[in-house]
Order: sequence, then C-alpha cells, then structure tokens
Amino acid sequence: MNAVFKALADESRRKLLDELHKNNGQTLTQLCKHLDMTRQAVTKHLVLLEAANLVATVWHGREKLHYLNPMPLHEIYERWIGKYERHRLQALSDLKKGLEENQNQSKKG
Amino acid sequence: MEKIEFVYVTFIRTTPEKLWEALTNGDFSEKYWMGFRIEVELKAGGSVRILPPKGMEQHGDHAGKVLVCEPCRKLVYTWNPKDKPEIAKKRDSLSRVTYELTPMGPQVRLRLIHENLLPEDVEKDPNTLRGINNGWPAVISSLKSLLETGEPIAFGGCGSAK
Repeated sequence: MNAVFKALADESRRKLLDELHKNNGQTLTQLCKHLDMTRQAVTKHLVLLEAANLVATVWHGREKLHYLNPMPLHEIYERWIGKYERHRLQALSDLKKGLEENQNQSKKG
Repeated sequence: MEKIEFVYVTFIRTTPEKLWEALTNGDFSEKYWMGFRIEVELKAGGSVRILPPKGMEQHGDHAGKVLVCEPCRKLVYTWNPKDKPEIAKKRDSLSRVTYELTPMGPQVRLRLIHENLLPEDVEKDPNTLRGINNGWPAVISSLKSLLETGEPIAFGGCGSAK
C-alpha cells in the first residue's frame, strides 16, 4: 500500500491517471500528446505507476497499451469505506445529483 | 463506434490451482460473487452460464461460450448479459472476458480483461455496484479476500450487482 500512496503523491502522476480514466488503453505516444511533459518524464512516471499496480499494460501487436487499474484503490476503499458507508454514499450522491439537476433547471428557466 | 475495454490486475496469495477452482466453480463463486453461480464447461466451445441468485433473476443467466481454456492459466469467454432491447440493438458482437493466471512467488497475478464493451455497460456513479466498471473490482476484491482470509467481502443489501 506504501507504493500506492507514494505513486499518488505526485500531481503529474495523478494527471496521467486522470488521462487514462478519460480514455483507457493509450500508448505512450498518445499519453504524451495530452500532457505537458517530456516523453522521458512520462515513461518514468508510468514505470512507478505500474510498479504500484495502478497502471496495467497489455500488448496489442506491437503497441503497448496502458490501462488504469483501480484494484489497489478499491482495496483502500474496501478497507476504510466499503463495508459500512456504501448505502449512505449512494444516498448522498443521489441527493447531490438531484440538487444539481434542480439548480441547472432553475438556471435555464 | 469506439469499444471500451477494462483491465484489472490483482495479486492473490494462493496457488494457480486454487484460483482456477475459485474462478470456475459455482459453489465457490456463489460465496464471493454476491450469490451468482458460474457454470463452465471447461473446453473451447463449451458453455458458460452465470446464474443469478434468487431475487435477481432480471440479470438473466449470461449464456456465453468458452473461447479459450488452458486450465490454471487462461480462460476466455463471451459475456452475454440480458440486455434491454434498445441496448441489444447496439451490440453487434458480444463482449469478452479473459482471466490470466500467472504464478509470482507466493502469489498469483490475476489479470482480468473485459473488452468490446459499450458505453451503456459503464456506470458513472462510483458508489454503486452497477456497471462493469463497478462490478468487477468488487467481485475481484471479494475473491481475493475469500482466498486469503476465508471470508468474502459482505456487500449485504446494496442492491443490484451488475
């Protein structure tokens, strides 16, 4: 779990994960296009993310595709949140959605 | 249309034999998969059924087919959910699930790939077990917990699994 927190304690690496969350299964070249970092820096960050198991890679022919692997985060979620809070989080998130929809409607109207 | 793909990697302290058994045996899957029973004919071309527990029959029985079967190493099968008619129209071919088991010292690396999915298979709200993206991590965590500690994760009463 230390490797996970260490990997997440860097904004560039969190940005890389955001990019994969938006668009899962990207090559190094595709990832570099969306990020303001050198190819070397992206490579270095990906190695760390893969070591922490936050990124999984699959070869498709000659292309290495990178995927966001949520399993380590899920383990953190299960450890501190999952068992007891799921119902309440669901209720709160429904409430937030409902209120935001209302607000959007009243803005339009 | 662009197809969606998920890759899940987890390390489980067990043997490839025990993990294979857990993945392919209904008595076992019932314990960690929120009551769902998997029934697989372990050969290429064999049938795969994932039978829902009582009260969740709306999920259908996922009657898929085995594409690749290498015992204790790799299983690939088609995922055949009970789609609403409007989604069934969009699905030109079924999605595929791959389990890959690789021994690594005292652990086994389980890599699960679910490919050829539609946006409709994905649930944006993370605080539910609906959707392929929320369902698999919960099922895999529960499987890991069951193999390592003897206890699955209790999802009790949190509604629809997938």
